Formats: sequence, C-alpha cells, structure tokens
Amino acid sequence: MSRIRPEEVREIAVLARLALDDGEIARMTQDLDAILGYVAALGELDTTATLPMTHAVPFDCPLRADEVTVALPVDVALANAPQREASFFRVPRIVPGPGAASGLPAGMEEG
Amino acid sequence: MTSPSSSSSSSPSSSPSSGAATPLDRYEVVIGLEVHAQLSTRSKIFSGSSAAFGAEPNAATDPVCLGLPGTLPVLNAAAVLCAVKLGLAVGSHIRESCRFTRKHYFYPDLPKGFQISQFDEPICEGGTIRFRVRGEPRTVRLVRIHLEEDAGKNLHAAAGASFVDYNRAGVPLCEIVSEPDVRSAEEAAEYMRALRTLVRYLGICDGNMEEGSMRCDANVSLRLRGAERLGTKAEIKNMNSFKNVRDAIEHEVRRQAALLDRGERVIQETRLWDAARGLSVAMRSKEHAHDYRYFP
Amino acid sequence: MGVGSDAASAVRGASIATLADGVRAGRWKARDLTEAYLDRVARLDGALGTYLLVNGAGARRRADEIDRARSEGRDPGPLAGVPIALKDIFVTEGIETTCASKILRGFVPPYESTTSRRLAEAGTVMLGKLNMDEFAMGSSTENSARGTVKNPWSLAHVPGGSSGGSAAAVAASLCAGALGTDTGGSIRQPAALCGVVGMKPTYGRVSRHGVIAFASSLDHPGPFGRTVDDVATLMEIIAGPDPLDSTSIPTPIGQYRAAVKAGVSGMRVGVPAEYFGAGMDAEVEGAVRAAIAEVERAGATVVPVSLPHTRYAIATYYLICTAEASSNLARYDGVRFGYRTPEARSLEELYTRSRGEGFGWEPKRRIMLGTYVLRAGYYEAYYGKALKARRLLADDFAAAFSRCDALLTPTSPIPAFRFGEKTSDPLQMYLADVMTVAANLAGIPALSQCCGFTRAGLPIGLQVMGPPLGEEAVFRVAGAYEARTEWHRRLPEDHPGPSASPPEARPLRPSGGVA
Repeated sequence: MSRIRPEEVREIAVLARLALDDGEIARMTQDLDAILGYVAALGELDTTATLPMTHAVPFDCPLRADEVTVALPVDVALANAPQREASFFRVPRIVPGPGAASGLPAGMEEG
Repeated sequence: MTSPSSSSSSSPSSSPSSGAATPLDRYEVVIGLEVHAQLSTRSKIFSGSSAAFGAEPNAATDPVCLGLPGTLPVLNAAAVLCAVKLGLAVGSHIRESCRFTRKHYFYPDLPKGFQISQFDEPICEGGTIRFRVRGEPRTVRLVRIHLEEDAGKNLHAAAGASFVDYNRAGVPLCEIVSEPDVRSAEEAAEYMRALRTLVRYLGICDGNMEEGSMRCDANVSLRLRGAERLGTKAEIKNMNSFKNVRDAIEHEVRRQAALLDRGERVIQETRLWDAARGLSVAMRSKEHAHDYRYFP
Repeated sequence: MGVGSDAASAVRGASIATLADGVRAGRWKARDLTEAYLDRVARLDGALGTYLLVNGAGARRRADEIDRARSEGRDPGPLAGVPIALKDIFVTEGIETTCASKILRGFVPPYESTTSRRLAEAGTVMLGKLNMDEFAMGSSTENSARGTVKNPWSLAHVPGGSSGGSAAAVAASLCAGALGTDTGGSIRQPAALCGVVGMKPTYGRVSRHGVIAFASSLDHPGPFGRTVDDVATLMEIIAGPDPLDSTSIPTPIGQYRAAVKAGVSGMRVGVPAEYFGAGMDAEVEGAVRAAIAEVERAGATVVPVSLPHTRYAIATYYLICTAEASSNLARYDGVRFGYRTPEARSLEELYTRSRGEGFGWEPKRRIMLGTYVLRAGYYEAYYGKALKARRLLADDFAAAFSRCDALLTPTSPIPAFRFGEKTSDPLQMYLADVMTVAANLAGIPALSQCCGFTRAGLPIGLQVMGPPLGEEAVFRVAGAYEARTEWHRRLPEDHPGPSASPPEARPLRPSGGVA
C-alpha cells in the first residue's frame, strides 16, 4: 500500500523549489514511501494527554538592547553574490502577480 | 489580467447607471483591515543593523538579516515594547507568553525563505480602535496585534532582471488585524487616519503611507442587507495613501456589486490596486502557493 | 624550514594537555607543532580525505604570533599553540565554508562562529576545515559532495558521520582536537567508529551562532579529543552563554576537568534494557558489558532502568529533523550566496535548478520529507505527533535520572561498516542512529569513548549520558573508566597516501561573481 503518489511528490518538489526529473521523482517516491511507512509507527502511541515539545531545554527568550551594532560595508554584503549590479543583488526578472508561483505576502510588493 | 467588470468601472468618479439604486442600498459592505506598521526602532527586530529609512542600497545589512548560513535571530527589546504600548493603548489582552513562527515561501526579498512572524500565539489579542466618521463615533474591534520582520525590496528593470535591496529586511513590523467591522470605504480611510494618529502619538511608527512605513490591505465582501452570512471576500493590496484606501475600496464595492447583480460569484483572490489607472488587477496564484507551512 | 624532530615524533597520539603543557614549558614552539601536524596532513591525508581545506598560511601566521607573544612575556591563552581543526559546518571569517555541499562552494563568510572564535582566543591554531556528510545529514560521511573519508583503522570502512572528518583526523593525529556537530549522533557515532572521545553537550550549552543549521532544536556543536580530559578541556573553552544565540543556556559552566578526575564512588549508573538486544553486534555488546563491569569495579552502583519509548526515537527524530531542515535549507536559493545554476531563464528556474543541482540526494530527500510533513493538513498527523513523542522520550530520561546519575549504553550497535553497505536503503542508514538520537531529542549531554576493539581491529564505543546540564556526571564516569583502561592509547597505523595533499585555503577574498 503506497502512502505517497508521484503526483504528490511533484507538488512537494514545487513547494520546496527542487527540480527533479522523472527518474528522480520515481526514486524519491519510493524513498519517501518507505520512510513514511516506517514513521507511521508513531501512530501506536497514545499522546492524547501529551503536550508537544518543540525545545528540549526550556528557555526564556532573551531580549537585546535596541542599538545599532553592525553595518556591513556594501561590498562585504555583496561579496558572495552570484550576480550583482551596482549595489544590488541581481536575479532574473520577478514577475509580480500573474505567473508568480509564490503568493505575495501582505504589503510586500514594490512596483 | 484585468477582470472585465473592473475595466467597465475604471474611473472612481463615474456614477452608477441612471435610475438604479446605488449598490449600498442592496448590499452591506463588510471590510476587515490588516495594517503593517514599521516600528521606529534604531535597529532591526532580530539583528543589530540600522532600521532607519533611506540608506544606500544594501548599506544597512548584517549577516542575520541577509540570512547568511549559521546566523541566529536575537529579539530587539524595543520592538516588543512598541507592540505592548500599542496593545495597552487599544485595550488588547497582552499575552504573558507569545511565540514566533516561521512562515515559509520563496521570494527574492525574503532572505531565509521564511518570515519570522507570529501565528497562533500573538503578543496582543483583541482591543478596539475608536474614531469618528463625519462626527459620528465608530468602534472597530481588533482580532490581534503581532510582531514580525519586514522583507527586503525588489526593484524591477525592463531588461529581464530584478534587483534586490535588503536594507528593509528585518525591520520590525506590527501587524494590526481588525475584525470585519468596517462598513464603508470612507470609514476605512478614517480608521487608517486614526491608527496613524495613534502610532505617531505613541512614538512607535511615523505612519507614513507614501513611504511605506504604514501599509494597508483590505478584505472586502458584500452581503445582502439583512443577511447574516458573510459574502466571499477579495483582498486588496497596494493602497499607499488614505485616498487610495478609499478609492480602491469604493472601486471594489462597485466591482463586486456588479458581479453579484449579474448573478455571478465573487472569486476569493488578491487584487492589486493600480492608482494611476483607477482599477484593480487580480493576481493569479496557484492553489498551493499559500501553504506557508507554519511551524514554531 | 625543517620540522623539529622532537615535535614531529611527539604529535602522533599526543593529547591536547601534553601539547599545551609543552608549549607553556617552552619545550616546543607553536610553529614547530603546527609544522609537525601540517607535515602529517600532507603525507597522510591523501589516503584518508579528512581535510576539505588546509589553512596552512593562516595557521603558520597564527603560530608565529603565539610564539612572539610568549617570547614577549604575554600569555596567548590556556591552549596556546595547540593545533585544532573544524568540521566545515563552522563559519570561519574569510575562509571558505561549504558544509561539504556544492551549493555552498565558494561561500566565504564575513563573520566567525562563536565556538571557533573562543578556541582561537584560547590560543589554538586552526589547521583547516574538515570533511563531513553534506549539511550534516548522514552517518558515514558517504554523503559528502567532496569525496569520502576513510576510517584510519581500516581504509575499507567508513569513519561514521556526519562528523567523519573530525573523528578520523583526531584518530590519525592530523590535529590534536577537533570540533563537530551532533544532531542525531554525528559526534558520538564517528567517535565510536574511530576510537576517539566525542561529546554532545546539553542543548544550548555550546553556542550555535555560526554553526550552519540543519535542525535548530537538535543541533549541538561539540568537541573531539584523544582523551576524556582533552574533551573536558575543549568544553571549558567553548561552552558557556552567548548573547548571539538566544537558545544558549545563560548559567555559568561547570568544572569539567575536575570532574574527569573525581571518580565515581557514590554514583549510580543506569543500564537501559532497550539499548541491548536484537540487532546488536555480539562483540560490541561484549565490550560494552565489560566496560559497565569496569565502571562498577571503579565504585559505581549499576542499576537496571527502562526507557520504554526508545523504539520510537528514530521515527520521532526523522520527522522533526527533516521538518526543521526543510525550513533551514530554504535560504539556499542561488540569490545571495553559493551556487547559482548557470542558465536560469526565470526566477522559478533560478530556484529549482540551483537547488536541484546544488544539493545532493540526501539533503533533497530530507527537504522533501520535511516539506511534506509541514503541509497544511499533515502537520498534526506527522510533525505534531512527533513533537508529542519527543516529550514522551524526554520524560523517559527524566524518570530514569531520578534513579541514577548517568546512563551507560553502546554508542552504536555495530562497529564501522564498509563503504556502500548501507547506502541502498534509506532506512538502513537511519537505523544506525538508534542509540544516539534520543539524547538529541531530549537535549541531554552524552559522550562516546573507546571501550575495546573487534577481532578485526575496529573500535567499539561506550556511550555515557547524563541529565540536562549533567556534563560533570558524564565526565566523572567517562574519566573513571578511561583511567582504568588503555584503549585510548592505541593508535591506528599511518597510511602514507598519494602525494596529492588536500587543497590549501585560498587567499582571503570571497569568490563572488560580478554581473
């Protein structure tokens, strides 16, 4: 019984922005199916009375003072840029709206 | 990708067809507003580079806000204080403990591939904004106020390239979410004015919509007067002044009324306001595009 | 520039304590020790593959500074002159840091990790960056995109992973000590397979600032050394609060080196039944049981305990770590640093091809699984469930530690396996972590030390676990055991290799492209 189908694997590859060819989709489907089969064992556990644990060691979120402590020079900020133009990082043209597979977050687009 | 109905009512000042009642006679307008206020702290919410507006591109960054490998966020006390002040001012319940969540999507202005925001445990819950519309008192209830980080800015050139500036990435934001209590475009604009006055008075934000330090998204739906269920809403973005808020919502009301009058359905979608052309444009987004895969 | 012959013969098998004392006493110059290790790296690492990058010029410069400081009467630090190396997951300013991945080739960080900075400030000399499984994902270092690492005890066998380079380099005396990270066992398991000491501290005890993140709630940076005392020495340097890491524990650190000598009388050591049994190699079980008996003879009381949820640990781990990894690896997108696909005709292609071409199969697989379990609709069934199972596992340890001060188990159910033996089935490799992952989920300190060898000459590891912030208990047990045994003095043979030595660090400029 399979837990995951190739179509779903393709959807996840889009969500994760990973280019996988047909052979890789097939291999990935097999691998994920095997792993999901294994982790299904957690279903045996009765966790109705258990709270989730995101961090093993509890901590209070520390706060820092509101001070400017660092200003990277522009050239340092851009030093690892695969492509730069003047003081900017350069990417292929972002098409806002139609065709953009990523939804725009609230208020983030600049025209 | 302009919808046919919006181009037929492209000018904000055009009057409805003669003889017919205005949409507001038949329909009640239901508006919820989400406002992002950039907090006027000295440094960014999770790192120590400057949060001030106007630096040269990429001259106000640091490894954390650039999302470089191995970096970790450290929370700015002043940002928390701003959110608490705002919450107290509007009578919110300030949670004793709140939680930050990662909101995942891919976009060049989002360095880590996720935005640090708050999902199910925001810093403030509830609250009210009181203001006046032409002298009449109004109350709009808030759902929540939460803290999150801003993204960078993309600039688009003609020649097939876009350029990214991360100065704004990591600037602290308060997101203020209202209940759908607003009942007209005019009221929405007055709500925004009231919020601006409030955040300026508190000294937490300069409320400058034109510069983007205060931004507004509106969720607009119509329902027949007397109906209880809410209609389908559309989200309107990119309104960068009080006038634009009013114009864009008025336009949206007319657009939706025209659809409903024809017996068509309103599609739940996000639309960008184009002030120059006086109309809104639908953004086509794939069904799975909004799976933000929130996790703590 | 000859290598002082005294230094050359001294470094093979030398402990950090011996070297630090020797430099302080004026017996060796820092430069002599550095040259001795660099010489060994040049001669021997061709066969082993532990170094991704050798920091020859930088190390010599640093060693000279230390010698100059000493000659001027200044104190260069408690570990002045001691050569160490770093898993290539620690961000080093001006020095390429790649996580053994193609997607970070050429990435030159503009800042330094807290942990490597503390080591440098203590006077150590950083010899270079060590090989690892790509993005710390693996248990054999076979997932490195930049060549494999061989186990110094047998070149046909893996060194373990993901910190395979670190464990092997210490075992082969290619550095006196090393840093690694442990997310599911990645310090302890290679330490066991290579016969050295490796420690995973309590979560938050050592800063993660500048440690490239795999799974944020499970990653633990930690030390490798030849002896328990060496590991305690490194811990005293690197552990402690760090304002740059919000999860770092704010309390001061303990007296670790003192604990190593304190003995175990009065201590109760628990032996969990679930860590023995089916699937375990008989020689491993024999050696570990003998070690437990030795600890008992040293004065501890042995108490049987139970950790009933142990069999769910791997499933819990692989749901949580992959979810967190899918998030932490989202930033590798070809936009600001690292690998960008040469022909992106659109932004979408920039993302999907850069990530598709830049990541190896294991990171892609974990990203896919993590993305899947965080999807709206699946969250509660998988990730949410795993978070609850995590609490049950942590509660198991808490209950056990109410009845004992430390736990003793094998580190790995099997000794080092051969290359290719476990790569065909993902689950086989994942199950190699069965004895180590629970400590990451619970955030408790755990150490591995050598407790014997198989008839084939492969090392066997004993794991000592303690309660949260119980490093001292762990060091007491580990120190007492080591004091009564000689395993830590055995050295693998030197394997002179092909003459090609590992690549030298580039000059201090990043290799970012220009449009």
